[in-house]
Amino acid sequence: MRIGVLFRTEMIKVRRRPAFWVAVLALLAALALTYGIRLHASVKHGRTPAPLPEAWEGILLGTGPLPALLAAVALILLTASEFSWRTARQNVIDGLSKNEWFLAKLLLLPFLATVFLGVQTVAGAGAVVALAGAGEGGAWIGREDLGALAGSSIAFLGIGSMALLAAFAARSSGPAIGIFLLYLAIAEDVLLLVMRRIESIAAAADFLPGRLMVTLLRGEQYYAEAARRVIEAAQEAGRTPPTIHDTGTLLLAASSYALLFLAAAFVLYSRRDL
Amino acid sequence: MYVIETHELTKRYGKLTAVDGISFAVESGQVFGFLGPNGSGKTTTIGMLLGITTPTAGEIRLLGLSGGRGLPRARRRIGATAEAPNFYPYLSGYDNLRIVANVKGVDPRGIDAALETVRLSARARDRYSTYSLGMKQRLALAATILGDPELIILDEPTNGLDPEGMREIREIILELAERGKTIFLSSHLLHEVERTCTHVAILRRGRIVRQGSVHEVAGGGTVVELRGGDPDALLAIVADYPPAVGFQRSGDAVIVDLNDDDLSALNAFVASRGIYLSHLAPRPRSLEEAFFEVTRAGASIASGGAA
Repeated sequence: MRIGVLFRTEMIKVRRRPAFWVAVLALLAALALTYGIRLHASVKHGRTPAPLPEAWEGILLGTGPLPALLAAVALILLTASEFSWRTARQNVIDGLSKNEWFLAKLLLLPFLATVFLGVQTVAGAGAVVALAGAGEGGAWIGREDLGALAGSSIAFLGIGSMALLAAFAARSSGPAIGIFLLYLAIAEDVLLLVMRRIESIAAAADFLPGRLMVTLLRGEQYYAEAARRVIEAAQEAGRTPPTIHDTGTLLLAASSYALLFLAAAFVLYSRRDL
Repeated sequence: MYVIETHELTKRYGKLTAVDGISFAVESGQVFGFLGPNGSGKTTTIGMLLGITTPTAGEIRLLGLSGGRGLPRARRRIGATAEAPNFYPYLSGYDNLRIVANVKGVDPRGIDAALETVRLSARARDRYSTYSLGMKQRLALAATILGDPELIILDEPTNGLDPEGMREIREIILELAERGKTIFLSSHLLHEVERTCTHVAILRRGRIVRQGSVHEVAGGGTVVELRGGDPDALLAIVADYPPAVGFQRSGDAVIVDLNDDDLSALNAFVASRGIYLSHLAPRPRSLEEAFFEVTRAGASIASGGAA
């Protein structure tokens, strides 16, 4: 396998692809909106925005699954379109083996996760420093923050692997994005409702892949203070507090799902001609 | 030295056999035309040679290499396009060739020379999506010659082009042939193939029904028009004549396809069976005629020239 060649080739494609830059700009716009709203709320209530390191929870997890979804859509666009343009077959004609072509797309997964998580982190940290300063004394980043960063990374890879499976199944950008979003937004909710009505499998509903990945992007999984807030809020509202699963178990399940989706994508890809 | 060798190459899609155990070999320096009607298995065969279609059975050897590791290595020394040109529409022609150079592991400094050869330098920095069909075909040719490949495989390179575009592509192919490149060319345009190729194979329903040099396939035998007596009786006599590899009635005449050019022997054979010919006219046969005879007439002719 010529990993360097594969990565360089993918970078030529990514750098010039308008869809990639549109996705990055959409993330920046969403971050600007988020921090704008937070600043407005702070000013309205006469509070000072939290500086680092207290602000890390908001930086890493404050935008929910949106950055991971944007990375996933970019991944679908960069993969599925190669089938409709028939450039996948041309790459193989030019000398990549079929397995190398798959690996090239696999390399995009950590690359896009790094770019989108990186943009989210750097832009968020920059905004916090600009609005509230760098904070005083103490560690620049805490253990809980590093846990949140690691968990977010796994969630990005997990959501990305679902997107890659959709791309290899549909082999066309529009249908692949449709399958991916419909599953997350509708199919999984229907499954969730059905599973919760069946007592023997109700507990497993929290481990449906989409729900699991989104759970890994919540503060209560990493921050004791956030967990306390969630439980108190539920009690005040007279609701049963949500179950907070062991984060290690969730990370293991998410990693297993990611490997399963990638294996399924490879099987689908291998069994069909280009 | 053989640059392409296939042995009993087969591709089945469910119950449909697209390519049925074909074996052929292309020698270094040949310009090899791969002919056949639509659906005869040409593109499937080329797809298997290029690694985009997985064979059901059979063997492929390219540039002396075979197997899961050997064939991708060989393909990096081959320039090829399959059917329509396939490039990234949002990239310029130049950037598309950078990707090809990267994948093939060849020096990107050769891109300018390749663009020059196909007369596309002036538009090299424009987006591929703005190119005309002729320019897209020329960019595909530039991609195939990048890195000075030993073997060039072209599937319908003049598809959809106007006569001027076809002439340009033909000139480029002839120029490459003059440089000693081995070219494997699939095309519907028989007169183009006859003018460009040294060797041909004709495919019908997934099988090679005739192959050899263009001279052998097109004019190696003789086509003769005969008249004399009852045409049906004449047809029955001709059917027994051993050198006759094809025969059919055409009005009151009988058209015979001979694998030799001994017309006096034919005349004597017919006379010995009691019919005296009033008309015996040989005529040269084009590749186009050979192609249509082989692909339409079927078994009686196919069996004679099959290789």
